[in-house]
Amino acid sequence: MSNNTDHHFDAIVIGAGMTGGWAAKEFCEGGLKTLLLDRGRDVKHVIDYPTTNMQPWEFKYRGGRNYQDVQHNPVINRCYAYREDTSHFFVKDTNHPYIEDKPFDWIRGYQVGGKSIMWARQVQRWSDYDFEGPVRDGFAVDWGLRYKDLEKWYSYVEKFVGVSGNLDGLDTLPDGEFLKAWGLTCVEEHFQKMVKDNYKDRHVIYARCAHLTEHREIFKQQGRVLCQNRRVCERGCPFGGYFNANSTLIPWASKTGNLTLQPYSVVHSIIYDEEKNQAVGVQVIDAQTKETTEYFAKVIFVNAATFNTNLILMNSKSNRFPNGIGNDQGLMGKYVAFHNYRAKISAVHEGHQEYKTEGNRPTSTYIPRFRNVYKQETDFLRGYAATFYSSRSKIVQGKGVGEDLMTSLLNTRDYHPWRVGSGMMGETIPKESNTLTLDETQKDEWGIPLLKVNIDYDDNDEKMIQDFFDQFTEMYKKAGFTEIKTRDTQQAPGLDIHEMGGVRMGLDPKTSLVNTWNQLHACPNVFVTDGACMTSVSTQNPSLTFMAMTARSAHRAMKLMDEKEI
Amino acid sequence: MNRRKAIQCLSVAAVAIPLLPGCNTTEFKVYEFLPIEKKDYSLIEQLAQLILPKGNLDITTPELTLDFILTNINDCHKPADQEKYLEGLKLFHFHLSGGKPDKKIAFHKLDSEEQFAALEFLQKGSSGSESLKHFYHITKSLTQLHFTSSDYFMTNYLDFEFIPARFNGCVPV
Ligand SMILES: Cc1cc2nc3c(=O)[nH]c(=O)nc-3n(C[C@H](O)[C@H](O)[C@H](O)COP(=O)(O)OP(=O)(O)OC[C@H]3O[C@@H](n4cnc5c(N)ncnc54)[C@H](O)[C@@H]3O)c2cc1C
Repeated sequence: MSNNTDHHFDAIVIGAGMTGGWAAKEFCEGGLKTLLLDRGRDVKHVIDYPTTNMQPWEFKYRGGRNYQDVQHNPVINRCYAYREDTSHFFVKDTNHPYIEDKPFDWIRGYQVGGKSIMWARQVQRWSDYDFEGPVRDGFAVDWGLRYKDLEKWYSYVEKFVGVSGNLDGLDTLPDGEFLKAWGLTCVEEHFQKMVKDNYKDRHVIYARCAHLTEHREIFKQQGRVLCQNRRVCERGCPFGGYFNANSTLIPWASKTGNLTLQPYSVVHSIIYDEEKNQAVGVQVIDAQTKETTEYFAKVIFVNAATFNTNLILMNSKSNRFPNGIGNDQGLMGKYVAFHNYRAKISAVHEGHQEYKTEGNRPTSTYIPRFRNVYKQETDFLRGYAATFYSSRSKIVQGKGVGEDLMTSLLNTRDYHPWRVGSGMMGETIPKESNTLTLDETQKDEWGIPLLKVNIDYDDNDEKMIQDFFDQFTEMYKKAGFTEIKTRDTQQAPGLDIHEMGGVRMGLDPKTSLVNTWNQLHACPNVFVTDGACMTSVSTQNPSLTFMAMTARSAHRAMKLMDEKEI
Repeated sequence: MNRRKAIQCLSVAAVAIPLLPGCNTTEFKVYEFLPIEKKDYSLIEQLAQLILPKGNLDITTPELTLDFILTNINDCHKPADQEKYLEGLKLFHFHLSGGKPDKKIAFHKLDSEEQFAALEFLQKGSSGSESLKHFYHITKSLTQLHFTSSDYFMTNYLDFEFIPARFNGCVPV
């Protein structure tokens, strides 16, 4: 890694998660001396995955939760992926407080790799039904961006990270560059057929996931091999079987010799030069010593993940930008949205008793949005995608005591019937009242204002939940499933871990903060390419879109630098 | 109790009840929220053995069943449940001592008939005490979990594979 002692670089990237990782990779490959800053520790691929090879019986609670930890850190304990084997990758509530004006479960990973280490690896492209949503349905603003702008960048990212999927030929969910799929279970195939027979615009497909199922030269160069179906991905994978920034982007950027990766570097703010009328660098606080340093570059990419990106920008105050860099119209931190994950349905399938599954599959089945796609057809706006999973497990019975109990336990010949279930992934409408602001008095350990989160569901979300219950109950009944149970988890927003917006994209500087190249309208050498730039949220898991936008904008930045435009 | 000694004791425990005659252990692991004594430890340990006798099965686990039970109650249970467990334990001692308060009978000194009678008493919940039921339920379920989450059980009885390297969505049962 190059070490630039005079603190001057070509590019600074804030945040070493999957979006910052992409920016750093593109810049380093493009020959730019790049400083990649992260507030957390370094996590080296394989070396820093301490639990990756541990067997289930080596965990002292066998998957249980520590009571004291739940009391002290209730938010993170509500995240399904925060477990005995993964807890070291998640931010504890107590270490990094924030203010919940309304309940919001903010799930974070502060380390090199960010949340890419623990993510669920689900990747779907957006289509123009998504990008054109705000214009058609009259909310937010026009993105200005369309599928054709991103199409080649989706491909670019997919080829590098590796995505397992089928060519489904759906206009709602464009196909990509796929490696082979592991396929469906027989019950999923049964459901798929039933849905096809009964609904012309509903589809059950294999859920595309960022896993390697085929060899390619590029993966060999990355040092990654095929996914081994262990399904303990959130611990970090020694095979590099799934994509995270640590296995794939950061080593790639590093081997160019152009990367300076600096962990434990908390970006306080972006420095704006009033004479040059541009951002010139960042102010960084050493996470451990609390010492402040400044670093300078021609271009700055803000990739600290949605909320922290908002925070850094709002905290970057100058005479020119008293309300935060780029925030001329006071829109920053507003129109935040997320995915509504409150609705679940489960059931039993009595059929296919003679079959089971074998091995593991680190993905499930996916039902793309079918509500309000071609026209408005319900009393709520937009719609939802959903998962569909099916599984079958052995019956373990603990009858009696003593020898009887042992005999009963050792009799594991029989299987439960198949269990099936779905979770809703609902699009929420960005609202001015869903806000992020900086607290005026309270600061964190590093002297940075605490973030105040004021985000809630609305009537549209409630109606959508009911529709999901109605539609899925009907679909499940048609498939012959029994013991159908719907459940509104009542969970606060946040556990979707798809929070987006606050620095929205658009064509008009009066109504948006970044342009269609992710540059702040009012300060074009600052780019925001993580979830903060999202004008609307659609239903798809968003990270593939963040990565495609980041790669596209990094190339744009290099072009503008060549042309001396920034 | 250090690990090696604990394992020696376990191998004794695995072949015979009464237990631990030669294991005059002086050190006991301290569980912050479970203020219990040596006789309690051996009572729980022997009860777990009675509930699920592993006989000659070749089972290796990273910790003793007793340690697993107490660690989980100590670390994962809420204070009210910990109290209930301790109260149930006390009531069980009370039952074993024939109703003498504060007298703790050494469980291993009971003959096997007496031990089984005590177990039956717990199993039937005949005292009607919620704490005693809780004590039995937790001891049994954690004993069982320690066994069903072991390498031996998961590999041989649940077809667990750590690196399956395949997925087949439809194979005959
Ligand atoms: C359990 C889980 C499952 C998920 N599943 C999916 C899924 O299936 N599909 C999907 O699309 N998405 C999923 N997500 C969301 C996905 O992980 C995120 O959208 C994605 O990782 C965002 O990438 P990022 O680089 O923008 O942010 P992050 O990965 O969060 O990285 C941001 C980095 O910025 C650093 N940082 C923050 N503030 C500062 C500062 N002031 N100074 C310096 N550094 C800073 C942080 O330490 C962090 O490393 C999931 C997330 C989780 C946790």
